[in-house]
Amino acid sequence: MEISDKEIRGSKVQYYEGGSGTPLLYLHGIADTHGLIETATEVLETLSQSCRVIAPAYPGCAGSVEDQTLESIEDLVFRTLELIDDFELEKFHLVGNCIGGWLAAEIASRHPEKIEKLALISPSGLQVTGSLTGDLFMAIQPLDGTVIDAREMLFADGASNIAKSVVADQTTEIKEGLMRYQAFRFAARIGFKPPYFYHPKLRERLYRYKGPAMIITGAKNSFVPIDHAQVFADEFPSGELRLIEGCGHAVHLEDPKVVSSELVKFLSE
Amino acid sequence: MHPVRLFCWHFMAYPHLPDDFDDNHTSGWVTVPNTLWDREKSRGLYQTYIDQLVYGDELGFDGLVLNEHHQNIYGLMASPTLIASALAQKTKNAKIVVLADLPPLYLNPLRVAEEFAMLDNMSNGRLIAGFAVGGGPESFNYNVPSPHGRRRLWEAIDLVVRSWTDDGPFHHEGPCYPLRYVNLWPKPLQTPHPQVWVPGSRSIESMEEVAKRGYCYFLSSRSHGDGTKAAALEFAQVMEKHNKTYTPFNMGVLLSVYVSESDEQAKAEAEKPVWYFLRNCLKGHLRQKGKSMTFGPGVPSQSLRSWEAFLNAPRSSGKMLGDADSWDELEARNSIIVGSPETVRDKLWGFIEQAQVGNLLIQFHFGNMEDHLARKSMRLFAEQVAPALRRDSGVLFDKEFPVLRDLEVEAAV
Repeated sequence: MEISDKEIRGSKVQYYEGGSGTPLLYLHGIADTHGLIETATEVLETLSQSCRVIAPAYPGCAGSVEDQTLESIEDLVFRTLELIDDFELEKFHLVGNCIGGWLAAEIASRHPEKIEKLALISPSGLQVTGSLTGDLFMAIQPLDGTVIDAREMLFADGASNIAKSVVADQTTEIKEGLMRYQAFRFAARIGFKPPYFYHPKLRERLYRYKGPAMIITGAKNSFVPIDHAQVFADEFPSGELRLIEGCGHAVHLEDPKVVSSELVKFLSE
Repeated sequence: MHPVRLFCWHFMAYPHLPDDFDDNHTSGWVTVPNTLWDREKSRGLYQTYIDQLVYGDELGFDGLVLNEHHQNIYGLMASPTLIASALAQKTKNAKIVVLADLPPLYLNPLRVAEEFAMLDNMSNGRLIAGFAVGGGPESFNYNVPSPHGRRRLWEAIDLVVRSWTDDGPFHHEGPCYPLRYVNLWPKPLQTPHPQVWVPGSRSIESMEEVAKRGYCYFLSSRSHGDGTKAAALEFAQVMEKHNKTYTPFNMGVLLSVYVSESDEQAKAEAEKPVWYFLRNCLKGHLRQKGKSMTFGPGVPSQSLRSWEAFLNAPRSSGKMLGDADSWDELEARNSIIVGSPETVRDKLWGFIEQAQVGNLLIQFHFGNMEDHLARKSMRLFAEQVAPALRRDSGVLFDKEFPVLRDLEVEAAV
């Protein structure tokens, strides 16, 4: 995939693009491309073999210019709609990971007519009483100089190599440190209040998207409890849930082959 | 003569933690369980602390400093204006410095404007009004997203100051706090309004905002190496850009001091409370051990530009004040100055000469320091340290900053 940028309504937006076929808008998560990862993930690369993938960075993430007025998921929905207009995407697959899954669900409930198929990977966004989303902001605060709490929240095995490489204790490169700061600063704009990462009305709005919807998450998701994924699957009239054993929240990094093949199968059916 | 202004700052720490606190708890902030609060031992605690500040007024300190923290053992002033209100009644001369209220945590900054205006009247015009954005722990305490903090803070400050100076009623159309009726009763006593102080940690954005409005910049740091001098120079440059001339009174710093009869006695008396302060009160804030909530991503309010500068700055080690391993290391850091009146005077004079900052905000009480020790330290400071510092700094500042005389003439006219 190629990285480039363009101006949308006066602000620079960075994005990865690649492949051909049905357009697929990919909305990234935190432990993901444009979040803590600079390159295109294996899942993105695989998706680009069968679709025209467009994966933009949110305002303030990676190389996209920050928007000081962005204060809610509603603001982010609007910025994303501007991007959809700019790319002239009329009907497309919508895939979102983590907070991108939340954003994708918000867009699907508002503009179901634009979406061919909807796939959410470990989405946040719901308030499920008695089942709190983890405090990722607290988890990323150093404990005895390490960020082990964040690794354990995002990965089934916080001691795994993938966890240690994506959420390293020390960011050695300035760019890496800045990307991490950007990702969490952006996340705080939309997900710090209410605590955390949900829109209290999203659940009752999901019924509006009646097309095919797939929710994938790791069975050991310590950030967004798996009953959130179940609620998404239940509330979408055509929702289905895929639980991947042995994986956590960052299932797309922990088992990219399975996640890619599930996505490709779902989108091509 | 324009001598250095000496303030007495109290943090009001919780002093009754068990000895094994550090072994069993990861933080003294946000998540520290309030089962550790001892009702009986804490009876009268606020009064003891308030009385120490009242003693500061009696000893002739230029001002008494309070600040706001929540859900922590470092500082029990969830509402510094409540303490300021008590001081307004029990003190006569000292300025009362609320440094600071945290408007981004509140629903409506008018409440701050009103309380400060009340305090200014209640204290016969002795209020210095501080405003700050709040740090990482406060983000968690009140679930305030830090990226919005600075935008809210500056709109709040401008609204408060306008509510003090402009005739009401008027309406305010700002994006964060739109208000139909702004019509302050009472108005503050001081004209045009109480002095405004804003803390910052050397981010260029904060300096710009403070300088262009002509407010006092308070360097919010507990480390005083070359950084204080560098910050003063930076701030002077920023002021110049806005056609203003820096004087030492445009800036303040926090210092920590313990004075006793001799160096040996000072160390012997200060060690226990200072280590209590470093190991317990700074845990969660300025200490790597445990869960530090001040510098992790997602909670500081610094802009991306400031954070990049922070990442680029050379750092000798990741150690913070609370990580100091030995008393010698602590002394080398110059963060806490402990000694006889002569030692403390020499060290502070060295600091004043080097940094040329005119508002020294000094913490005298640490962690679980006993009342009589805090009072003795304050008294020895007031009687044997302050006079020389005032005398020598008056000469120095008048020589180095001739503009001070011009400003005085201007004010008199």
